[in-house]
Amino acid sequence: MAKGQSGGQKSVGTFDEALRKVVTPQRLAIVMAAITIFLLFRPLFLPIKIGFQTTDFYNRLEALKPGDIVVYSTDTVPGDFLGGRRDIYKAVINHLIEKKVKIIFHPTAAGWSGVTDTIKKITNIGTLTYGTDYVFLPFVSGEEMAWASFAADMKGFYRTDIYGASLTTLPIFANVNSMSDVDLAVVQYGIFTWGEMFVRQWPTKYGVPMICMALFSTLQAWYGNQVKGNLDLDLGFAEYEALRKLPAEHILRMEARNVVSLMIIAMIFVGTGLYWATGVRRGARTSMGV
Amino acid sequence: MTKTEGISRAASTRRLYQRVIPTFLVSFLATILVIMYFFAPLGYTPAGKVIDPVTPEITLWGSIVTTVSFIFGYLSIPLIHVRRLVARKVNTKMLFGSAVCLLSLGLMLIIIYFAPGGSGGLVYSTWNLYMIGFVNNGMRADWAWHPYTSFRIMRITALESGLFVTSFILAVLSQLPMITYLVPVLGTAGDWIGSIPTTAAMRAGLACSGVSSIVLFVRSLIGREPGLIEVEVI
Amino acid sequence: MELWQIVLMFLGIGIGIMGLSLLWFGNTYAFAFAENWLIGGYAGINLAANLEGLNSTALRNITSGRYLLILPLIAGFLVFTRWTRFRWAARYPVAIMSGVGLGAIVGLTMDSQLISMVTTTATELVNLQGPKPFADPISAIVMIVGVITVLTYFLYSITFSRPFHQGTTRWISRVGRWFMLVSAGYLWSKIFLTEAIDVTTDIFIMWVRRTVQEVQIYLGMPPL
Repeated sequence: MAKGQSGGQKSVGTFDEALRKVVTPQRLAIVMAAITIFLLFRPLFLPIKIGFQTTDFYNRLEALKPGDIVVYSTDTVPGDFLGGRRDIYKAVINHLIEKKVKIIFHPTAAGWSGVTDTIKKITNIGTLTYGTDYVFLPFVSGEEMAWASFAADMKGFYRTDIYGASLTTLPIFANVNSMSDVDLAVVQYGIFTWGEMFVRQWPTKYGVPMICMALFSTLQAWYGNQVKGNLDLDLGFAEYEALRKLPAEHILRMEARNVVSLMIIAMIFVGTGLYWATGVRRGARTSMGV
Repeated sequence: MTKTEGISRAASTRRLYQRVIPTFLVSFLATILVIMYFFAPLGYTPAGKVIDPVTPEITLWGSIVTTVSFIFGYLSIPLIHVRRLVARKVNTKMLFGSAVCLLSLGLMLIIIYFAPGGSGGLVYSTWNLYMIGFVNNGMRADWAWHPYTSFRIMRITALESGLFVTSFILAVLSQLPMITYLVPVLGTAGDWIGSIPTTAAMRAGLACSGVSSIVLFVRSLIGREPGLIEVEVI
Repeated sequence: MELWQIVLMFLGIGIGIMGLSLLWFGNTYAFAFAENWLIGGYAGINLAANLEGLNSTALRNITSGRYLLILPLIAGFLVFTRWTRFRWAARYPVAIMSGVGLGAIVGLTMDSQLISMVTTTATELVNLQGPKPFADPISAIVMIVGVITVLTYFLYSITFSRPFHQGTTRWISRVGRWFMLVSAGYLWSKIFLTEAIDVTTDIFIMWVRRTVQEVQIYLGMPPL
């Protein structure tokens, strides 16, 4: 009898092993796809509860006063802005526009030049005056070094805006020289290591409050101190859309997330139950006991 | 001078400009920036000039060097693929891939520099959305492995795996809007796990990485960290 | 929406499906096409963007009188010597990037990752208030226990700290490991389940729902 087996049990293929053979990544992907496509066309309109991060993010935007200077830093490219993130970026930018703040768009992605016209087309930024109420800065690589230099001396780092106009001639930069003169930084990024870079170079050094549109895990150590609010990717985007009463695609995504996640959890419970119920103990392969 | 002396003098000269000077450059630039950070206040003079002009200047230098390095990197990609196509020493699939890469790169540059509106025009943004963005969606399809992996390894078989799996399940439930709406306590439990024990572990981990950054800085200061210039350049 | 945009949309979906084929058919010519198509496209976008970035930060500044910036420009171009037999010269731009990068982060790392973490945790313990939104004493105590035990686990290797890993106080490292397992479970859920589901949902939102909407608009029908 093999080690770990009790008498009377099958020596090959427990129920748990059989489940693992039936459920393959390919079959799981097909099931996920089928559920997702069904829900996209027949949404269940399940309710959404607003979390604390989204509430903090929203309240920070609501606390802005007309004339406040906001740096909106984003790594969006046309594939995102016109693609899956269209609705949330439009919602946040329109919220800033409603508050009548002055917006400095600071890009951190190479495809930025294709986004500026899209912002003009799909948001209400046409109600503002370019150069006085908002400005598009050009993309410069260098990540943390570039952000440090930009924060220390904005007009020295970027000589001109994306259209080639000198920053010293733009009214928005009349009293803005560094990050010390900024009232709020709205930072959106997708690369996980960027969170700590932004936290180091902007709020830690200059004290500027920062709210983010990024994965919470990348900045949770600073949440409440340097980071004052966050939209935790798709969940946060859906909560924000619900809060602003702008039903959009991210709410639909939560439908798929609800159903597929519960399916995976149910399979985990079934797998664990079968593991214990069949009474077969394989030797642990790791110190974690699995 | 004997032949041996000549060789060792040449070697020490080579060592000077290939290793000693670059290593000194690292410690010199890092030291200036650290001194300015601790001793130069933020702010402006009454005349409107920034009090610390050194930090923005040096970081701008770093940014310019980085930009040129990125250009070098993005020029190396087509160079490698052209060399591969010319040499033809690899299998057909790799040659095919190289040809496709060069074709895509060429088309993208043509659109950026010659299409109406250039990189701000409709052709560029449409191409970027469909021919890059949609393709990117397909390439990310291997994320379908992740839920499968979760199902595959998550079993409560001991105390420690139980902690891992329980934390996982509570965290997932707290991220499902339907669950947090219908059973709020599950949402609170998952949020607590993310906000307290996870944050505690992350604070400790970040503190440790902070200590290692300081150690790295001190070692580079005394020229004991040649890996900063040599590992990247062979 | 015009016909050429519709054509590009379906072409993009076709190439994307070729990328998706990795899941079922492995590394085939179809996947190789999609993979290399994407690499070439991103290389083109980034090359053009970085050339424009160099223009805006270096060239425009130099032509407006900041002649000192010629030095980092020359130093940067030394990286191209990697293609020649004078490749040692590429160490200079690497040294500049390393030095500036290190200098830019060290002071702030001490502030944000050491001092800030310690003071925040100590303040929470003294006030017996955990971080928002869990401002209760139990959360504050759990936080300090977690920070100390995980720090102990990381900072002291077995060679230098027998008591913490093998002696009577080895339970400290054990508790630290438990905290790390809990945080690993949380992080796993965020990235390997919910975000993975969101990524796959994104595929179908774009390829199916959005495509149907765009075709409906093109054909003059009311969209979804």
